Amino acid sequence: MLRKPSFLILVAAAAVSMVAALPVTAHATTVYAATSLRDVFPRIDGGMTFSFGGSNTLQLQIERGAPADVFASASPKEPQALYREKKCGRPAVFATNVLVLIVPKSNPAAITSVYDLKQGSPKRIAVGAAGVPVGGYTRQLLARMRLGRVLTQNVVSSESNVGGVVTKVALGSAVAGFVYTTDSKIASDRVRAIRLPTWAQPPIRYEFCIVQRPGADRAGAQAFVNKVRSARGRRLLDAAGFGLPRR
Amino acid sequence: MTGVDRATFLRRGIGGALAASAAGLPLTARAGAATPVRPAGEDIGFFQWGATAELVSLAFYDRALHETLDRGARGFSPAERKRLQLARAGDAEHLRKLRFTLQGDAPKAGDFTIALPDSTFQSRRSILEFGVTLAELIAGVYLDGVTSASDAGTRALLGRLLASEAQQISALHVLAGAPATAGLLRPVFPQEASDALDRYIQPGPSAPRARGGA
Repeated sequence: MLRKPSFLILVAAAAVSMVAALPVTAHATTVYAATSLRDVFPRIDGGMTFSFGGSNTLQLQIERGAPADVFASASPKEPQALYREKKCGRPAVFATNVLVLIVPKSNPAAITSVYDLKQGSPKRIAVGAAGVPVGGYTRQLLARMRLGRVLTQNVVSSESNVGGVVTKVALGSAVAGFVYTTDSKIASDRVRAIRLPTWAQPPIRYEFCIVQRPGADRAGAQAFVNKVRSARGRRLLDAAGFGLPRR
Repeated sequence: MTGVDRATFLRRGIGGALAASAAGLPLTARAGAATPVRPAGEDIGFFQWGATAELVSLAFYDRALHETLDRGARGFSPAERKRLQLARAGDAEHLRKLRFTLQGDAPKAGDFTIALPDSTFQSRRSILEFGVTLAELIAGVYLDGVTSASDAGTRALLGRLLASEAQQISALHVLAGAPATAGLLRPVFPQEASDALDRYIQPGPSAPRARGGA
């Protein structure tokens, strides 16, 4: 009874070793993407291997040779830098976003406006770190509104990606945080979004590029990029709350 | 609106008047050739707000000139239309100076859409009322900047913009049949300025669609 499974295991192991020995291995295309895309990208193509994180961190990993095939960033800065370094193809805009202020559903600090963050006693707030796109956008928006002091008058938790900001607010570790509107939608059962003025919003553009490195799956990468830009991909991005560039 | 006591109000009003009198054509002419002002800290906010507001003002004058030309003139004589054109040219110059300072950070076409209420353009009176309201809002923010901006270059540039904006307000008052000086300007502080400007700004065509909630 035990011989047959053992045999099968041996056959399977042999097959695996043969496949591994082939020059082109059959593997899922690897997509390095901004944390804010963690919900929508798997919906567009669940067959990819995803690595989500802060765009600046992912850029650094790709520069050091990480096995990414596609890089999707929450700002143009990182893919444009890789393009200049000839580590990825020409970047293209595929989505846009806007910032919102989120508070826990219970809203313990009774915050109804971003201006409340500079009133009263210091509050615990969560923002993206300065180097990560959401952190840069947050600082730009606050500077435009002459509210930069919000980051010095309060107790600020600096997060390495937007997911960290959402988690801090959702768990009540912070009474407010600045995230993309798409993140507020994902966590809408735990947080409430407060609109920020349109005039003060910095342009938030997502760009992706096909990574150029030895052994990269360029065909798989191109196929994924095409799926994101397809009518279905755009529909899913729109449903997730992203804005769409004109075709 | 943020409260302000009489002493602060007068200090800011005097500051604005001094800045306005210090500013003038020679200074205005010199600004274009100079190196850009480097606003420190939150001072950048005056320029960002100003650049967006000047875009709104340009959109207002463009539509007002169009409506007064194509739809029965709305009671404006050719000379009065010329005055509106001069006001528009003044705003275009303000915007040029603000963009010169902001450089790559200046708001761009497509970042947002300007939406002015149709009722603004229904009559001569509504056009002039809106023009005065908008110009006073802009001048109020520049006035706040003249006294509260942290660096001298920013204060000087805002003073020049304030002086020019004050001239526009006077001209609009005269067109409306009121005295050229219809009261002191009051400073407009950040929250009021932000809320007022946002009424005329809609997300750009590539922005996420508005859906309830945020």
